[in-house]
Amino acid sequence: MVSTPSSVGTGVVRARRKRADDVAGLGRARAAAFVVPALLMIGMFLLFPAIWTIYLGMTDYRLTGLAAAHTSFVGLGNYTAAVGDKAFWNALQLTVVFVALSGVIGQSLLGFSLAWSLRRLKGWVRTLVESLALAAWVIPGSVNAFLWIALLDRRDGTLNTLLNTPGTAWLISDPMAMIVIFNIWVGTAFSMQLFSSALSAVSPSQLESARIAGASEFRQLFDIVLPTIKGHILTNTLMITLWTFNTFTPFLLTAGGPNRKTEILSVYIYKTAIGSGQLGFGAAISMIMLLINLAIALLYMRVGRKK
Amino acid sequence: MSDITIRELVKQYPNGVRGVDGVDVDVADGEFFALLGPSGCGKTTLLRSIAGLESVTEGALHIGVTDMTHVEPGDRGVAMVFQDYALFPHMDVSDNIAYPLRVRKVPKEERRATAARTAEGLSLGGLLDRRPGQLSGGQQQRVALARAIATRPDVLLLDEPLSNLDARLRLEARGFLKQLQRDLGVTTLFVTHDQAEAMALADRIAVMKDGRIQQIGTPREVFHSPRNTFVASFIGSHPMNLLPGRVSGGRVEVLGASLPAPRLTVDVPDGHEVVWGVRPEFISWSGTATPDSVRAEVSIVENLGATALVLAKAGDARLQCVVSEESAPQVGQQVWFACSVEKTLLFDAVTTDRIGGGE
Repeated sequence: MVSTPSSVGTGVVRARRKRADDVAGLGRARAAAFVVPALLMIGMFLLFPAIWTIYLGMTDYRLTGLAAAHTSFVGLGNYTAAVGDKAFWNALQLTVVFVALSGVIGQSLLGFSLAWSLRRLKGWVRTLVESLALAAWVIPGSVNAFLWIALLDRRDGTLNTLLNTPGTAWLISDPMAMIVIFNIWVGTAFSMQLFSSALSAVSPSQLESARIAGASEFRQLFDIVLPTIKGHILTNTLMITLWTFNTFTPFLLTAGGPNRKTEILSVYIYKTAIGSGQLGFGAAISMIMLLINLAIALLYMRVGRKK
Repeated sequence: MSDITIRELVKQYPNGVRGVDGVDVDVADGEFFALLGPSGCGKTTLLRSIAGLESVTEGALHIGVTDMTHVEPGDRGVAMVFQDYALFPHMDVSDNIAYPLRVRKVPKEERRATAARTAEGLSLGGLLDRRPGQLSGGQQQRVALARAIATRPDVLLLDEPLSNLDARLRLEARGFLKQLQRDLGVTTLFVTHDQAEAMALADRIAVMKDGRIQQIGTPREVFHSPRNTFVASFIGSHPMNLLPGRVSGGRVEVLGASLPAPRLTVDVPDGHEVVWGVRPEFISWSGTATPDSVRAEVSIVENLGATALVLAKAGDARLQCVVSEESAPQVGQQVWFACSVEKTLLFDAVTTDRIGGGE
């Protein structure tokens, strides 16, 4: 006997469920149950500390002393204090220089140059250069800092031996230049990798087409390659701007010194909040830093959307 | 004069493989010339060597009287249309067409005028402000052509110019391309794996295999007088019937029958092993036994519209013939195939070179 579709199965008539409106067909309640744990975690570890920082920023909370026990609300007092603090403006100015030189210019340009010169290379030369660049990126910041202290040391430093300049204290004579070079060295691998994959997306026939038209390699770069990878350039610049803005590793080399010459914002916050125990004031500056980050991100996204 | 002279050209890759292996080609000024062959035969490598995109290992290349063997691509006076068109997606049609002029520092006004004029000639008039992504495949191809001819090159190179178009559009573009080449009178080389395309477009065809040229000739020559069994089987919409046979007393023994042999160009002794070849289009059938014919049983009949392709078995061998659709035999029918001796070709069984027949 040939069974008709309606008699397939046990024959028990099952009540037809109402069709769920969502894509997965879970229904609202079950879908919500999947999302809630994640939302709780985010709330506990991300949202709460952020709100707590906003609150702290409006108090005179200190690590020790009287204000630690009896914290009082000061409103926007910390913010007006920050705007009036010369050290804050010094830190902001240093941060802008640091981000521009070591991130936007240094890492991007060096990363792109490496990716561009490696693009036709295959085999061990490429693997070697990529591994070296990646090593700086992979090694923990504390180890990197130790390597650079050994390199720049006044008495037995590698650099002094190589340049035959015994006794030069690089971290004291040119502290800003040193942390800029240090940060370029640490972060170039990211730009290099990102641009490498971007360059592999450039169509070889477009480049050859330009070449037959008589375009030099330099022209091909500006007429074909850069317009093609515009989106990658923007993403890369956004990422390294934010990372460089927030990095704290230079503290391990110079501790912000000498004489506040390398006291970038992250270091200034640390020294204010932990070093001198002004947690409320530190929280306020952190908020300012967060807002600057937000503004940068929004600016890039707006430029990105325009193209 | 922009004729092309290629002498003993070799392109050897670092791994020792020879993409082009000792090629001699002469292309006349204004000629439409096809490089035809299966994939991997070196035809594209040869084209890219002429463009200067591949460095040449040995040999020489002249365009006109100038030695171009080691000249930079941009200084050869050649233009090339790539298989994927290679249009610049971030430039509009006008800028794409004018790009080679921009590289040559032609003033902006003149550039725009030339681009507009060239686009008009290729019926792209209303599309100058569009981006390549907004164009159909056929339009993109014409933009690529416009960009190539806007600089009035001495030599135009086309890499599989029609392969990215759908079947109907391809026929249209074929006629358009041939007309354009006639109008411009520019020396044109194109690469294709499609023998029908080469036959339809080219003044002369170079058939290639394994980096070597098998035969250079007009479409008529490669069709009727193929130099060897490779050319014979590669050219033609339906593969040529090629069957083993034996020369015997001025005739050929093939498929258990004795058929008249064409005039031999080489003296061979009786019993010499040959390959007997006849195109399916030159075979006729009859329902009754006729002199000088081969008996076979029809196994498949494919209707091709006006014609029908008949596949038949004669013993273990298979024969194909193309007949008028109205007079096609039935499947399973016993038939006798005959072919005129003028259309019969004989090839040496060992060297595969043609030793008899042809024009």
